[in-house]
Amino acid sequence: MAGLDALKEALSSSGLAAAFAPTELAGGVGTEAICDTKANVCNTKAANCNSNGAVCNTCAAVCTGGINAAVCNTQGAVCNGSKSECAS
Amino acid sequence: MALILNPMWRMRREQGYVLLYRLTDIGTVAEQSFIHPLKAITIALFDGKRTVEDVAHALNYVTGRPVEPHNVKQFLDENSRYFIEASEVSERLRRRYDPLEFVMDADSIDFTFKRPLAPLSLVYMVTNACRTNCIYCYAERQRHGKGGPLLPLPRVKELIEETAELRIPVIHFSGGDPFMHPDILDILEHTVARDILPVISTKCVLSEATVDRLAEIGIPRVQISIDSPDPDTIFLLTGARNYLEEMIPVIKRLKAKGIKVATKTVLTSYNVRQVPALVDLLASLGVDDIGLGEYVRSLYRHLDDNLFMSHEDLKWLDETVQRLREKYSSTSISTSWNFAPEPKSRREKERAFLNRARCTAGMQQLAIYPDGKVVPCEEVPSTPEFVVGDLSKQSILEVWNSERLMQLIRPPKEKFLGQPCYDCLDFYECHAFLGRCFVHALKAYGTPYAPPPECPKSSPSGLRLQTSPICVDPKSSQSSDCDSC
Repeated sequence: MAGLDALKEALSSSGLAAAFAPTELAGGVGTEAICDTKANVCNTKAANCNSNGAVCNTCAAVCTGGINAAVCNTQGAVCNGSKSECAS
Repeated sequence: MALILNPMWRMRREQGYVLLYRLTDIGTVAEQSFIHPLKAITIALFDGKRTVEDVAHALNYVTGRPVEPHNVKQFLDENSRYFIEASEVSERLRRRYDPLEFVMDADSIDFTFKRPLAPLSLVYMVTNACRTNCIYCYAERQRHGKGGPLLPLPRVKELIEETAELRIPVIHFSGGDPFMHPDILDILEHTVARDILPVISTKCVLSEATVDRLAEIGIPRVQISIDSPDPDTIFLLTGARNYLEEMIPVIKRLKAKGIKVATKTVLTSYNVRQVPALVDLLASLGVDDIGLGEYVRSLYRHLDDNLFMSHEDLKWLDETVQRLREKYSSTSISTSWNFAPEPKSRREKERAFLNRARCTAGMQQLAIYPDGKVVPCEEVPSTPEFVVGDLSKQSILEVWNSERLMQLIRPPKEKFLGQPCYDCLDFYECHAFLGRCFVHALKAYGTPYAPPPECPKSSPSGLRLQTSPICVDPKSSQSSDCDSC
């Protein structure tokens, strides 16, 4: 397996290989929806643009609540897609 | 079928896990997850050439465990949203990861939230010079002139190299106006060449030659500020004459070259009622994203509260935007205000504060002044109280890991003597996870070492910051145990 020997060695010495069971590959990685933040425009998936002009402010926000009623962040956008997708 | 991680998703090794996050085209982290290094390695093995069988075989080899194709197939089925067929992505956009990058000691794996090992974004205020003199400007800058000392170009390029090495995916170019910097095109070219997303906003008149160069460099999107369809109102707000006549051709030039155009409008009492006419104009020009944001108190320019929209304005605006979205369904119209009732009871305010925005200042981002001075947030002044480093002398990582920065974002309690924070039982938790907006505190009370106005323990006597309520969670305010319902 050309190119994988270094990886094999690293996984072995880190203990990752020994701790790995193939069945652990099952399952989603899961994501936390964040209605962020830093953009030159506070876009549909962001909110919280409380600077004026070019740059939105620095606060990110976690999307909470349920479909349509969920709040993307505490200062702005509303989650109207799904619980994990903030959009306006 | 050969899959690859969709370019909108990225991975970065962190302490105890690998961060998988979705970066939007405006440089925001929209979703994120802390994943096990072996899952990151599995994702990385999908390099656009390997099949499911190849990846299973490779995992089998490198782990010494009996990985079967159905194990990998199950992984793909569960995580299909992160992958894309490699042939659907141009070679330039394919991002390949070295699986070795994600190997860490098995004993060190820990999925609890931690401050990232490096910023996830930089705001680089390349110059303080600006073409306009906006009455709402939040930036600390000189009017016109040369805009003060600048980092030398070779040093800027070194910092872009470090940005790439640290896997910082985005630089927001701000100012002043980035196009007032003499070397901005060189800087942007270097940024794109290192696979860093440049997010650019301007009020400058971009010539055909400049737009041609931006297209050659591969700039995907430019944001133009347009506050009104009325020249007199624009003059009142920005001090610029002939602005529309000059900027409309810029929008057309950018569009003609295939560069996405976004606009940004700061809404004040002077221009809020012009929104329908403005959106009509911008939609007719083919603007891709129309951004409408409410004016928020500027630390430097705020003359009087008449600049704020009234609550009636905000209500009208909220309804008007809904209608405009229906009218222009293919155009993105984004807004920044929160049309929700102000929390009335202490309990409502507490709930809203618990659901507040997570402050990324010094936790996910750094802001860089034109001379290299670093502050945690682009809204704070470049005064010694807020400067946490100097990139003319230090590396990004040195500043990120500096005690000075940590002292500012997690200040000692003693700084709050006489403030409610001093005796607050939530003091450490407040600063450790969601953070406290010290800019709001600074604007409202003149000191960063106070609870921001959105905190239920804050004094009601602070200066007004904006029209819509700060940090309100409408859902929580409507819940059954709300004191005021």
